[in-house]
Amino acid sequence: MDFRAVQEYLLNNDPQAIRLLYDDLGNRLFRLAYAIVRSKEVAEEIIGDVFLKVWQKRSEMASVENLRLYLYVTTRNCCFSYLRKTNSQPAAFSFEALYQPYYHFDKSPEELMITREILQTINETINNLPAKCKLVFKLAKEDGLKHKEIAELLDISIKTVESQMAIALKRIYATVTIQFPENRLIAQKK
Amino acid sequence: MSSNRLWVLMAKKDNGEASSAELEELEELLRAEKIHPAVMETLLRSPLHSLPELKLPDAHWDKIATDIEIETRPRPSFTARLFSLSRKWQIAAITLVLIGGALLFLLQHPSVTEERPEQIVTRAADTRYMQLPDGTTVKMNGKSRLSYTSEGFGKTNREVVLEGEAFFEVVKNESVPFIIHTTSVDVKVKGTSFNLKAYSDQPTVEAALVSGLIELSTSQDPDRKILLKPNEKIIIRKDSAAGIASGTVSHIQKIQPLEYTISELKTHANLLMDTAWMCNRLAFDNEKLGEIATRLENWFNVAIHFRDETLKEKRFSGILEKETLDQTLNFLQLSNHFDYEIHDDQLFIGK
Repeated sequence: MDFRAVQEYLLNNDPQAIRLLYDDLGNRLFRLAYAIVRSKEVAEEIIGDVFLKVWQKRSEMASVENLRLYLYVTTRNCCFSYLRKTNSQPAAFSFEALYQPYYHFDKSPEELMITREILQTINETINNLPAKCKLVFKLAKEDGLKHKEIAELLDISIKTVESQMAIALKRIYATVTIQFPENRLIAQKK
Repeated sequence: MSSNRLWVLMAKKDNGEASSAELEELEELLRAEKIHPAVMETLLRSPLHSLPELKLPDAHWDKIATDIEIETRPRPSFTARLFSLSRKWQIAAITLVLIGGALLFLLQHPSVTEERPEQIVTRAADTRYMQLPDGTTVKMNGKSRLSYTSEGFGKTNREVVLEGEAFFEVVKNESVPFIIHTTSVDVKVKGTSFNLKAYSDQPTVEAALVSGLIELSTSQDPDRKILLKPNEKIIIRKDSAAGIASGTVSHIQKIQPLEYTISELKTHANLLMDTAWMCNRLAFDNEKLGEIATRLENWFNVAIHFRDETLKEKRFSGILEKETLDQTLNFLQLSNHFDYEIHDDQLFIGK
């Protein structure tokens, strides 16, 4: 995604910019919003507001250094202000309260050159990670955010992000190596 | 059990954030801990997805589009600006509808989704510089469209479709030729820089070669290759390249000789005429006013109407840089007299 180009479109009053951003980030931001407000309808409305806000402030958008992070943070802030308005409290991230979606690697075992059993074990391990750990792992892996960006978004230190990532990786590796002896780790290449 | 440090470094590496010192440290730790990272690495290179996929409903976008339209609607008090603005908006709305339609089609045909082409579009009076996945750089002139399929681009194919004008600096790759398709002419490249002009509303396709070698073929006669050498320019008449003459009803294919001319590139004050637009200059060399008008339309984003058709045949030369539309017309009037009137974004030229 070429965010520079999108910023140029915004500067030129070209609504195509919003469409590009929406196609690229709409569903990802929706999932983040849903994780916080836990209502599809509210999350939809919030995402609508976020994109409209970008359009209203289009002249300022050119000076935003990291447009992608800006959208994530705006989504987070909109969610929190919604929760505050409806008196549902959380002024800070409550990881335990987050919706916990299931994750999986979308490649086939053949492509990964490992067995189906191992892939299943890995997916289970990811889904059984603690909520905070899973969210950090998701933001890094699924959304492709940098560790620094995750720290800023979740309002935690970069050290915490790093240690959460380390916990996730360590667990996956440990589960796999304990359950499967080394010679079964890698499947035969076709 | 392995140390935390190892996994912190592994996570950094996976996210592309590890410094070279950290990568070295990681390798050492892996060796010390006797960990074989192959499985881990294969896994981490693969994207993670939530299941079941939580997605916004299709109708969601429509509401945003409406909100944006309301937001952008000009205030009634600016009556003077109303017409031009609302016209611009109509164009934008049409573009959005087209994109929406295309998306709907793709969603209903999931097998096509993966092949969705990348598209870069410039509007009139707009130029844009960009880089393709294989490293080739393209500077696009106004009112142009470039599309390509990102899947395998640079590896299995390097084919793009151009409508309009662009300057290409193609990265050399002997095994995967770079091919540019236009409505009537295909250009095959093996590493070179050149300008290609193929606007659908102009009768000719022009290619100007700065360095390297390009090979052209037409849809009328794909087996016939025309080679272009550096500092040469080719102008091909589209109606001859497209094969069947328009309006022919009979089944007898009327084969016209391919009409084209090759000439040396012209320079003026050390500026290549064909690539002048790249430096935000508009250059024409003994061109008919009818052809210049099309370029002025793109350059200044106006519509030009001729009240007297004979004026289209008058020829002009010159290079423009920062001149306004008025200054440009006054400058043209110096060498050949004509009158003009401007109403909003409509320009009328008469005797």
